[in-house]
Amino acid sequence: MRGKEVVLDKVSAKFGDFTAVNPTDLVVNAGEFFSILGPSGCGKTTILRMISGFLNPASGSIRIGEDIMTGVPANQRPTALIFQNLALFPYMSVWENIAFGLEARGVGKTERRKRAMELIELVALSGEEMKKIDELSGGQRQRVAVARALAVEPAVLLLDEPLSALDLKLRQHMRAELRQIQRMTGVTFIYITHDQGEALTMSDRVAVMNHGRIEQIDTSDRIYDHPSTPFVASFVGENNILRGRVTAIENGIATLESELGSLRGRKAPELAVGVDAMLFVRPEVLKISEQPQSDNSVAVKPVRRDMEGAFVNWVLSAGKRSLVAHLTKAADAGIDHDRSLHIEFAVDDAIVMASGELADTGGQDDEASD
Amino acid sequence: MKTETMSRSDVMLNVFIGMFVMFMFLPLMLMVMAAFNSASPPSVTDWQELTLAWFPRLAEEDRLIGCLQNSFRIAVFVVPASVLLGLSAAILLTRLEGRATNVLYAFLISPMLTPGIVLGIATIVFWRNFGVAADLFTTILAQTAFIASFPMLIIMARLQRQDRFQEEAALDLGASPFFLFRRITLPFLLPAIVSSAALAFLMSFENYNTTVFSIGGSCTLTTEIAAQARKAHTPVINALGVIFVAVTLMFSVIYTLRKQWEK
Amino acid sequence: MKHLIEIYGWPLTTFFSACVGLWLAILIVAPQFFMAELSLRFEDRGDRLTQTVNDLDVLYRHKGTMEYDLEHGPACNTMGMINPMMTDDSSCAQLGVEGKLRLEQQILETEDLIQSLLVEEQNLKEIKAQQYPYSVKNYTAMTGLHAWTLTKTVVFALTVTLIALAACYPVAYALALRSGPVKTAILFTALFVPYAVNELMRIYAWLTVFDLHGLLNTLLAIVGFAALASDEVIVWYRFPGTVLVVLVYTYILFMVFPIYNTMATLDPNQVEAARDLGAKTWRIHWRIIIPHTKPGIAVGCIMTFMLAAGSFSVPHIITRGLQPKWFTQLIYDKFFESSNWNLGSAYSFTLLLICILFILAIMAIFGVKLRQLAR
Repeated sequence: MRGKEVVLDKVSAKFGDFTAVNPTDLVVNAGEFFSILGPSGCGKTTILRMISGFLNPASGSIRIGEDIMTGVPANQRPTALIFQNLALFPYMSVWENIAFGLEARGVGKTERRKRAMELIELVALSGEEMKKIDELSGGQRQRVAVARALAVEPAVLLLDEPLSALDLKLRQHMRAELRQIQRMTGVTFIYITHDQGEALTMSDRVAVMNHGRIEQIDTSDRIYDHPSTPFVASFVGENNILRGRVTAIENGIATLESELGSLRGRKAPELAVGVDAMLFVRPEVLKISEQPQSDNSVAVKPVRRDMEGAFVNWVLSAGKRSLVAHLTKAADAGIDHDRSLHIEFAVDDAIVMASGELADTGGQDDEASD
Repeated sequence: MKTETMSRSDVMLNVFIGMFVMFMFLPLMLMVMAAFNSASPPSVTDWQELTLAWFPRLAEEDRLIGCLQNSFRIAVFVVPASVLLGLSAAILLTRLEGRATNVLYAFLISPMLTPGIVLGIATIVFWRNFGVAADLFTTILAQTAFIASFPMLIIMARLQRQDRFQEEAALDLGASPFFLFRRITLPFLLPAIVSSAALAFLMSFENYNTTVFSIGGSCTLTTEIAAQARKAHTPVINALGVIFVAVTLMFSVIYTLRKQWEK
Repeated sequence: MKHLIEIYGWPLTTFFSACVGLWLAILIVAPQFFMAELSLRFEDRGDRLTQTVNDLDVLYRHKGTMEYDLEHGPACNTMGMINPMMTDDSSCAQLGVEGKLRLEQQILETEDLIQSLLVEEQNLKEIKAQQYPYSVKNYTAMTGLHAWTLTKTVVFALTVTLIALAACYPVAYALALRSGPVKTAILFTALFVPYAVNELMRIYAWLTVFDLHGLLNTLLAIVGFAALASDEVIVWYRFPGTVLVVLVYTYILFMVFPIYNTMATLDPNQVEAARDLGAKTWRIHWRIIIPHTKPGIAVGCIMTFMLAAGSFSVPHIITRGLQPKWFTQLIYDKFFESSNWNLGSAYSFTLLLICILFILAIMAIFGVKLRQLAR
């Protein structure tokens, strides 16, 4: 393990009057694959640039391993950055690109070349070493960028949405490859993305950011199943959101008096009776039936049924609300369109949180359109 | 009907272009033709005998050759100085922000928009204060003052197209500023530097208005041509003109063909 | 500045700044400032200092010529050289050893003379510094003839600019929007050659047209309006129109290329779309092409005007002394014939002011900012 831990101590960033990052504490463990997930403009790239040394924090300090980075310029930090557009050097061949960091350190040509060839093998580019960058495919460029960054043996590799330019298939393939390279090298990876799929599949832990603030740091599973704020709940994965007022809290279960009647779910920490709150329930935990088994249910009318393959998506209306349910093929089989239906969910599968800001998911809002 | 009227205006346009090109070429063609006529003063209407005799006579013009050497001496300093100043200014202007750069920019392109003779005069007036008489030195300074603006614009245009992450990537990989400049910035700017050097050479070599006011008793090829052309009209100058036209033609054709070929 | 240092480091940043500082201070600002300063000191002609300065100038030139001769042999062809010493007999002979020695001796003597005059000049200057305060007399003292010359120069330059604009807009249009790639390449080369051929050569070429036995007079003779043999010909060099024609010829292409360069960046689909929406040709020009091409037109006008108004070469070669002097020629005389640098500076500064006014006017008319002027 040659990765080092990265510790942010009350780090903030400002551009003029605009606060890009509020004072933030963050510990990324040595050798961890850590993702920072958030919408564009949330401050995640700013954090990355502060760690790499291209931006000075307005306050606070950054520590990598044992060393405080304050005053250390970018070219002397044990970090390597993979840029969103990769920033490969077009006038150099593949191997010269990879060996650039070594050349900058004054390593002799034979040694440089040997190191470069090892890395070329690591990223499966053997035979391409003499090519120019513009002769490579998107995926190959990606690999050159990774190899070039690894060549300087960084303790921390910083990745700024490097996969965003690739098409879907290749992106999925590269996710697996990056994960594998991270495991093999043991370098600490800090990965910036707005794509939750990337963050959830690759990472040991994920931080979700919004408006220059980290809303939650957790494993992928915990982020998905136990979001700690309305923003995280609405940004990561799909959720049905119902608004209302908390009327009772008992044994960790909150009762929400919503526009669709009284519903129950797990109580989020620090929720009190009488506050405005939101109930989040994921489409895949909803059950549809003619006769509900519990009182945690709502009468609905089917609007649309979309066959998606493994899942069947139901869009249902309840009063002015529109709800979405994902059913397995088996669960879908017995449903009769023309009957009046109910959706229901287990109390443990829903979560009730004090109202807060939601992610802008673009059109997938909670008001029915008609 | 629509296409018919369009083609008529196209025909008119083509006729106009043809006349324009004729106007541009006719005097040059007359000059070239007269260089091969044995008549002196040079003429195309009084045709005596086809001759190449005026060309060897150029080699006998010692003064002209001395002045030509001066032209090269000046260019040897003006070209690197202009490229260096232009490069520095281009880097400052593209990397700095704020109102101050607009003022700086205005000052740095002002010599381009200033009449050449004013630059020449200002230079000799300034240096006279230090007891420096007008000579090749003052011409070099006067020329550099405005020629440097052209490399600046050419290099700026290229710098603005540079992916700004290139340099950050190099820094991030541990490059020192010198190494970064040599290995990333310069190679990227090389085409712009080469073309601005070529342009600077042409501008220095061909300059007359600034030179004649700043060179004092010395001469360059252009001041000498002007001096001779004013006093007399001799086919030897026509012969020189043929060489100028031929060299220009050669370079433009090569340049155009290369550009077409690259496409 | 911070960003600059982060990337290029202290040493390089300092170096770049120093280069730009030198350029700005020593090559641009200081000379203009000193010229303006000089123009504000009215010099009483005929005083001892002026005389001394004149003598010094003559001596410097004299010395330069002798040194040149010593190195290259004396020139037979003295044409165009202001050379007071070349009137004596032996100017065309080869220098013998004896001649060389004599020349070297003369150079040394001249140098002595220069040294003593320099001391005197310094003394006189100190006296004069208190004697001549700043005044605008150099500007107000312009004679009627010189003012008329200046007006004529400006009017001519404006005319050249207008003619060039009218002729070049269609040319640029044809080049940028109405030709296929091959036609554009050929046309471009056809225009680039006369653009790149030495300015003086292009001016000189017109002598073949305007000469006493040149193309124009020969054509007239063919029609019967002139007779070459008996020299019943028109002396074209007497007409200011010749200067106008050659000015247009020499600087017209500085209008074509800026306009072409901006026009070529116009998406042809915009023109197509406008035509498709039923716009007539003139409206397409007025609403689409000209607004897009404004910065190029502005640059073309500024360059053409500046070059025409500041041209020394065209009147110098074309008038052949047969027309009243051009304004630039007046400036030349102030510096190199009558050695009144103060007045010369004032004239030169006036020319500069006119060009600045023209630039400001063009920028206001076209609504173009300085940044857009550079391609």
